[in-house]
Amino acid sequence: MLRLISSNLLQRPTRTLVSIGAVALGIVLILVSVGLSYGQLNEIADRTRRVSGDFIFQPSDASLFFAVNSGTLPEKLRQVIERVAGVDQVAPVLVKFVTPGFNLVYGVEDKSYDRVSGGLTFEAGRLPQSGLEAAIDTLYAASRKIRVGDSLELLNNSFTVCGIFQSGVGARVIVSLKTLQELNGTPDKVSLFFVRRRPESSEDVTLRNLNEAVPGYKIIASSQLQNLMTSNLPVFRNFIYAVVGLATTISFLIILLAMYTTITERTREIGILKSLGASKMYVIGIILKESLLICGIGVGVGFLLTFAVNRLITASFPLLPIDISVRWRILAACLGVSGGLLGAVYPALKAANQDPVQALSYE
Amino acid sequence: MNSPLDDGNSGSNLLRKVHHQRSALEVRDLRMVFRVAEIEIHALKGVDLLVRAGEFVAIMGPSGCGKSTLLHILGGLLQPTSGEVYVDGVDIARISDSERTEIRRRKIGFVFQRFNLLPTLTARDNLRLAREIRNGRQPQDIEGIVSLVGLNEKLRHKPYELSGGEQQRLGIARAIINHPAILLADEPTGNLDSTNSEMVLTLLKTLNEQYKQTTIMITHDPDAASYASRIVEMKDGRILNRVQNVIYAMGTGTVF
Repeated sequence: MLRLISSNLLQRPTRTLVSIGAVALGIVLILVSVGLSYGQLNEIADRTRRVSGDFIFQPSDASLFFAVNSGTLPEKLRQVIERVAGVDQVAPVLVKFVTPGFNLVYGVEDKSYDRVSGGLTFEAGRLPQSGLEAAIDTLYAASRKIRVGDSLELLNNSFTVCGIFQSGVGARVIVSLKTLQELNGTPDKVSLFFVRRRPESSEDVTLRNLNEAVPGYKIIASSQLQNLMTSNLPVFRNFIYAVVGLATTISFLIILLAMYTTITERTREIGILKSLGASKMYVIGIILKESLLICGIGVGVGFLLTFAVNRLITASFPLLPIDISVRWRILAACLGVSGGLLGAVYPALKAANQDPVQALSYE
Repeated sequence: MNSPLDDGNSGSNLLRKVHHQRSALEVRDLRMVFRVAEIEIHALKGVDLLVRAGEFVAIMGPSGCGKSTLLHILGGLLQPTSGEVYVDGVDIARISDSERTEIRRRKIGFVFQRFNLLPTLTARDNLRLAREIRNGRQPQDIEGIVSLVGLNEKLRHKPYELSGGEQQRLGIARAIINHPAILLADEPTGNLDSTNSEMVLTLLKTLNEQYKQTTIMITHDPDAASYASRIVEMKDGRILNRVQNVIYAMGTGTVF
């Protein structure tokens, strides 16, 4: 049977390649879209988690995407939070979303930010202290070829780069809190507080103390940020579902079309098989195994193409992280194969139910 | 082998009591009606036929007389409208499609006018596939059959690389690869020149004489039919020499 299947696939190379390409395209579509989406979310969450201490303190209606609610908390709330039992350090942060580049800018106090985050690792320079100074991370500096002392156009002002820190922590661009408050037109206002607890106070206890002492605010444990970002965003989930649905549909339709036409072309062959005594299940098996082989190769090609596309994206856009988990790789492979197999079911049933006499006389 | 012949359900009184212990194939009052739109076409109108094990029977008749329909029913490819068809004692007219497929797989070998080889496979793989379908495993001993049909040097060739005669010999090899009880040949020389026809017919005759292969061959050609041990003539969905067949059946020791 395997020889029959492989010879049939080789007999119609164009159709076979198109079918493999369709399955591969579905795999690439799923993995790249999911990889980019999760990459962005995970990276934001991860970078935030690394500088945010133990808790993120926000207004009650705040988004997990901090830039959405820029400057609505009074800065003086800091003193209240600092007095809560179990709280060690509090860092006020004003977050601003800037274009071009679609980046977050943090306005921070250098000392409190250092204490809460545990200190950034600088390759050169330092945190901004006042005025139009900015510190940037290494990826941002590399992508724009910026060094300490260079100027950086930001928020309609020309900043001087005062430091370059290792990427992976907080925003890619940091300016002083006062400067960003002025430029944002929100003096004495901040977007959030990063809160560090005392070592002797547990996360649960400190969180409970915060909620009791300063009720009516959204307080997120930094350790939960990643899960919350990826699981509590309906738009994100819908996007992923749409991509997965689209990719599976592509595999399904192309395989359906390819197998349907191949069944029609191979009507006589099916008649021959039946005259030899092939059962319906045998005929169905041939079609499904043929589809399985196409899908299997398609999945493999899809993985290779995804790897190539990822390399291309990473080389062209270093600030775009791609994160494809093993779970999604397995899921994409399963979807690619199942979409193709489903597409082959109807043609397989059609082939199995063909009248052998009519099939043998098919021209 | 239990005979269901005495159950009174047969439409044929003539052969009602035929004892078919020694028959490879037995047909009683076989009728086939095709419905095309509102029109009924009576392809077979009560065919009775008995073929003993080891016999070589040629069925002759003009186009449209029902020869191919009869062959397709005998091979389990078609289910008749009524009648009985015993293949090795099993009435294949009354069994399910999957059971008929099983009979076809185990008991029947087909040889076609247009060869009907799988074009994407080599000669060897055509034979292997047939054996795989019939036995559910890869063949170990196709060489003997290949030698018998004289295709040892052609096993790596695909059907389109073979002459018509070679393709038909390959078709015969495929049909007998699993030692079927009955070999059904539908105009096996219809697409061949006289030299190749003679070669193929000689091969069929050899299989019958030396290996006792029961063979039923449909042909238009009287010369081809002359290779058979018995000729059955058909016209308008009926067997003409019915009486001779009955006498023949009586010769088997059957009691009417």
